[in-house]
Amino acid sequence: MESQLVYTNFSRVKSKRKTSHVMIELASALLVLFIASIIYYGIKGGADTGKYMLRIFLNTLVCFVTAFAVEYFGIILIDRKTLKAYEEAMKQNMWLTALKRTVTHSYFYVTPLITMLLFPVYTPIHVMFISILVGELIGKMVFGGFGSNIFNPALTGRIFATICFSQEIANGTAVKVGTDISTGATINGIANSSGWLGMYTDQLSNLDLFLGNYRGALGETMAFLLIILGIYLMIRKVIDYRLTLTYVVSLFIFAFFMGVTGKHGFVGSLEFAFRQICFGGILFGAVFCITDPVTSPVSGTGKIVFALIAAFVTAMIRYFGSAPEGVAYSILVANMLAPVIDRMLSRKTNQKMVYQYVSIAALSLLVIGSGIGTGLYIDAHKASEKPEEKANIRMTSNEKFEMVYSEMASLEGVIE
Amino acid sequence: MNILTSLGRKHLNGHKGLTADRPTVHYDPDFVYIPATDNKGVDLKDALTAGSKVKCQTVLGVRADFNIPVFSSVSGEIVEIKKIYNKSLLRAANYFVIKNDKKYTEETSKPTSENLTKEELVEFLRSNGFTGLGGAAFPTYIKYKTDAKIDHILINDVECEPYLTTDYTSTGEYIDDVVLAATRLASAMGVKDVVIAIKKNKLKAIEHIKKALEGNSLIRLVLVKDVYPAGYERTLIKMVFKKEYNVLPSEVGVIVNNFQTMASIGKALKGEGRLSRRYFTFSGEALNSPANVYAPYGTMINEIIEAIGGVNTSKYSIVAGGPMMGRPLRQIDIPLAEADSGVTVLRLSQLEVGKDVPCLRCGECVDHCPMYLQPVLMYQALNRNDYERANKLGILSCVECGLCSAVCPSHIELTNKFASAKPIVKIKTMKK
Repeated sequence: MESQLVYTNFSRVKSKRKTSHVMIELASALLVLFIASIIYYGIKGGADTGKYMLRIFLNTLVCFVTAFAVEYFGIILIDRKTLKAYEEAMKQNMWLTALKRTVTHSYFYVTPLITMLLFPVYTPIHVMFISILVGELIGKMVFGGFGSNIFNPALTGRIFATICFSQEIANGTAVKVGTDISTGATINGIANSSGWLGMYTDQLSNLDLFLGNYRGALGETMAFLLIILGIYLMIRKVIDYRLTLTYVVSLFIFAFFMGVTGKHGFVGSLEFAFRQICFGGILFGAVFCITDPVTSPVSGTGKIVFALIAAFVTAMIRYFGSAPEGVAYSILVANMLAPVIDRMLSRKTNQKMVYQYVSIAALSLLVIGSGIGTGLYIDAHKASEKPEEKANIRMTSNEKFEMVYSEMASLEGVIE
Repeated sequence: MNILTSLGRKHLNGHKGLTADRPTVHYDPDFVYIPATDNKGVDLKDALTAGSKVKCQTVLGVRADFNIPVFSSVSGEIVEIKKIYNKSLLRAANYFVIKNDKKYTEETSKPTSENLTKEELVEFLRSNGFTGLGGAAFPTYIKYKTDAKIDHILINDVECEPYLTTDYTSTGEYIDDVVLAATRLASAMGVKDVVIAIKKNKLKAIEHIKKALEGNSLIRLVLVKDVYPAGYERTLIKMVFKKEYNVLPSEVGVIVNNFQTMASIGKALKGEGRLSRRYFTFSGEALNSPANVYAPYGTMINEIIEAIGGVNTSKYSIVAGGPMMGRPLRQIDIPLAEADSGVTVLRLSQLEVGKDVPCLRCGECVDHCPMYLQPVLMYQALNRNDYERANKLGILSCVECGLCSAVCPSHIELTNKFASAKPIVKIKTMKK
């Protein structure tokens, strides 16, 4: 056979793992969660099921179309010179090439999926549209598209919507009938209004909390599914286990020590910490948001430090801030620090190991210490200020519930 | 396994089944080509002239750079001295062209005394011109000519490079020579611990070694994980002794020798003469029948490829050495050097050319770099032409093992980028 030697310097061994496979696997996990929550609202929706399904369908449509449009034109604007050169060289239509790149180079489908899951089921369409527009445009394309963004695009959009449309999102957990809301006090809102230290087992049992049998944002409620998906994605190395585990474990430890100083006892503190982890967006954030590789540091130490900072900020916002949740804010704050962490650790990874260990240990101590302090503070604060309110919270009667509920009606949304 | 550092995590598909446990091929070339220059391109001192009769192990000349002799690998006659492309110099250089009479008559040599002193040993290693046969061809005597206290001799039989099976194939044949060499070298250096390291999945070779080491209290066998680059000196010392060093392994009291080098030393100590023929692995999907070829060094690559059945594809790429560290060749009529372990011939369709997507900063390269570098940050610095930053990130200690390119899910050519940027970084930092 006539054969020809070709000189090529391209590397000859390549891993089978591809970025596109990673992204498709991540998107599949998100899709599983999405479908699970659709099923939940289909079963639990009762008479409102039709409204829920229509709203979810429209929101999905709006999310995907907006995300695709923004990324498509973004790619054409960013890469128009290379695309034109490519068009001339390969005789391929520039617009078609950009279309292909939107899918294979930019992975437009991940951001709308995460955004969908960050919002409650009955979120108005315009809120969804503005959220995804801001997320894609300001969170992603302005920085140069996939791989160059500083902030997590989905969370950027979510935070923007939270600031602008807090009432709409707070009401979004259920269908609005007239001026009333048929059902709806979210457990986070109740907890936030009463200082977080209670167990609230009377309002939401451990099993319901674990299975996700309550209202909240689409993706955040089903703790068991999130744990399964998280473990699967960690084993498949789609997400980095150091980020997820550091974040969840440090928040668990924080809540555990908070429970100990909040007089829950040892077993009670474990239960308290478990409930705190399952509340709100912590698990969703740990599995799908903080693990965004583009916006997290690259080295192992960097990732652990990053997750510890995010956990600390989450706890501070949740227990001391006015918003009921701090997951999204804290991850954005940590995203902001990621380049700084990278720069501070920009040397060989085996150099100055003491410095690396000390910074991790110091942040861990900070988390534990602030957990102890938070428990003491909230306990003392509540005991001295409103001794009778503690009893109120534990009451199950409808009137008392209404009271608490009306208090939190002015509060902000679900998972910001 | 430490979650913060990056060592011994990546198992590569070895493709070793192509040549392992298959019959070896003996090839006798008509001509062999042996470099008449040292590794810097300077002509040999006291070189023989065209027309001289030579035997195996006749000294052809003395290398100027390390003062070590160069030997003939065949018996016959020097036909001429001509310029041929030298793949380590990347240009044409002088070569002895020796006509092979295929008798392999050897220069007479005597066994050395059993109790060498350190000085005698170093002189023995120098006068026999031993260089590392693992690929880098570092002169062996310089390793032993050290004032540092040596505690361990490490014999590297790991062969982590995919496709290559030279050491694996020859382990059974050479193990007795290796044991002899290790014993003598250890007694001369006052070393109490000799380690043979091999990957734990090479069961047949392990059996041979275990048999040879029965009742031996000096030499022990250490099995390492089947990861890349387990056979890299620095990684291997870290895996076996849990020690790290700066420049040379002797800093931590270790001398590392390749298995083939030790075999050659053992043969010379016995008085049989150093290895003039060795196994070369000719492997890769593009070859009709990949095999280990037993041939004198200096044989042309294209002759061997034709002899074992040729290439089965229209477009192929050829690499001297394994696919990870080896250099791609621009032409095929290049003689094999003594330190070459083999040649890998790959189909062009196997290689992914220009299919990279944007970096997603996953940190996979940081998790695997055997030099503990952060390739992704270096890549970003080079993309904005920030050579100072790349230097600060340690680009100059990159050993171009190719692992970052191999593990990158975005299939970015990191190693090539670093290899081409290193000279620029050197110049830029020299100015200051």
